[in-house]
Amino acid sequence: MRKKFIETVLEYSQDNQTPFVLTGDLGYSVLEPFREKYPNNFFNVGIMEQSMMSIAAGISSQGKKVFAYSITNFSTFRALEQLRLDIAYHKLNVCVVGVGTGFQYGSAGYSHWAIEDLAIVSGLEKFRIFSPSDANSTQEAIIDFLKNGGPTYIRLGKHVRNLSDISKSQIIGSHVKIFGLGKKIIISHGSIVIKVLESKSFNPNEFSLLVFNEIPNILDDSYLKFFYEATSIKVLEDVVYTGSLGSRVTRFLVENKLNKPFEWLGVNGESIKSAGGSEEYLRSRELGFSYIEDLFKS
Amino acid sequence: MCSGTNGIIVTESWKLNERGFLSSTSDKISKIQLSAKYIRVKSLLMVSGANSPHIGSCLSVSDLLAVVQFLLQENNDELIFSKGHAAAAMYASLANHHIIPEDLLKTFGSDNSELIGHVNHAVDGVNFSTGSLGHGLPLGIGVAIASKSKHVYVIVSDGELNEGTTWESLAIASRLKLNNLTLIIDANGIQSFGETKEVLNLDPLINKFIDFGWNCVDIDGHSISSLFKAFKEKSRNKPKVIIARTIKGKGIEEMEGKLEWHYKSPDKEKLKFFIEEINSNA
Repeated sequence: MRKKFIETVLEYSQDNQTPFVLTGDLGYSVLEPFREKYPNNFFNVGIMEQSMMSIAAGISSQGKKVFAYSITNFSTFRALEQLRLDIAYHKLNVCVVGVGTGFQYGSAGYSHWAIEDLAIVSGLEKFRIFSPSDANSTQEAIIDFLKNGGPTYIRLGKHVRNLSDISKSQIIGSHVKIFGLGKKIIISHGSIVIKVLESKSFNPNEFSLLVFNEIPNILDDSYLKFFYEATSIKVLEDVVYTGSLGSRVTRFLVENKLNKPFEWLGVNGESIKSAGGSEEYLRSRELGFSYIEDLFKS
Repeated sequence: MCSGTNGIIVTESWKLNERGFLSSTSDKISKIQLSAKYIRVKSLLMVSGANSPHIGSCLSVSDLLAVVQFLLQENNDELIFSKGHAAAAMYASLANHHIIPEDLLKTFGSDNSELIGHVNHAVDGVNFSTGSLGHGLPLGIGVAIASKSKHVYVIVSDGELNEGTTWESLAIASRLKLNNLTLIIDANGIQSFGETKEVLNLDPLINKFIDFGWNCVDIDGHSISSLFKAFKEKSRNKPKVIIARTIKGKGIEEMEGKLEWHYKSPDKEKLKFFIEEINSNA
């Protein structure tokens, strides 16, 4: 998704409105094409994520759009106050780019995992948050930012097949797609989505998979029909429960008095220990060893 | 390195042209001195009326604000007021230049007023809300990168130099050769819980800025003529820092150099005498 990100920035940059790309000394083998084409709009500021976000805000205050790129934990946790005060409060056109979601930096350890980023940035309600599931949704998010601006956070997972190559979908809301026609609803976001869609247990006549590319602060009434008709609702995500998409779904169900069979699979932050292991090993350990197959059980 | 010239320390690449300066600028200096008095008096009235803190910081930064606001009137430049806690002084300087109505100053710190205790970008003339220290300089770098035709002034406190973002920013600004950026340090020597040299001694400060690749000058921050000269001097291929040596609470003997005036609000009964003292100062 990182390459799709920069390809999209390049493709949709117009010479008179070229955005700026800042990086905190990351992006090797990714950002070079932009640096080569627009050297005056590219700055490797060094390993200073806090200052980078303020610099991005300063550039944006002059009417420019800016991408500020680093690994997710650095661009969010490290620079939280700059995101809050300089970007969100001033409503500036800065897209904070976080690379790596969930346990994708598996053996790199806890410092590099991104399991609380959604919770942290969700508290800054002026931010729009994108959690793309594939290259297509990454492109859609970047185009949206280039068109509409505003404080934006995009969490980029590792490259996976486009979901559209696996199954057909319908658009049911702003940056929300649904796969399948079933009454058993599974809700997810980010690069974990493909695990659901690729599962042999996913029967599109029995299940519907709602994929959120943008994580809204509040689910609006457009989802009422789907949830009202659902026979069960399950949420799968590789972030902590607090501040997650599941917390938004829970609020929606409670506020609309929808008493449905409900299951929510996320990461238990209290149990986290940094240990070696692949992304999939760590993810399965936190969510339960058969977490994908669990979704399809009654 | 540095050399002393009439109390002004300069780098070799930055020689001040003193001859002919005063004759062409004396009127401006007189005007700026009056502006500084206005800022001090209004700050006293605002802070006292709102029973709010930071009058010591307002009084130390008044001369710096008066000079920078004057320069902004001459050009389409930009000021970022990073020591946002001295908000009353900033608002007063805006009123002094008719950027906001003078009557608005009376609402400082009251319910629903935009004039809150740390500078607020909802107020005309304030580009960034600050209050968290260490944000102004990197914000200014962003502005200087994006708008090369502007000159960007960033006013910080000396306590703010404790923040790591200040030093990160110093490094990147010099690497980018941002000669349209001037950092002004209100070096009053006192921060929240003690003297700067006791809390985190960064002396000799000027050497650090030179090592970071900045043009620097170390001057009396209450000398309008010195400040004016320092601001006007061009800086080639480097950003510029002015270490303005100031006195916390400057202009009121009871407050000068005292930590407690980072917190105390002027007693309303003494206000009249304080204002008289400001007005009687040369």
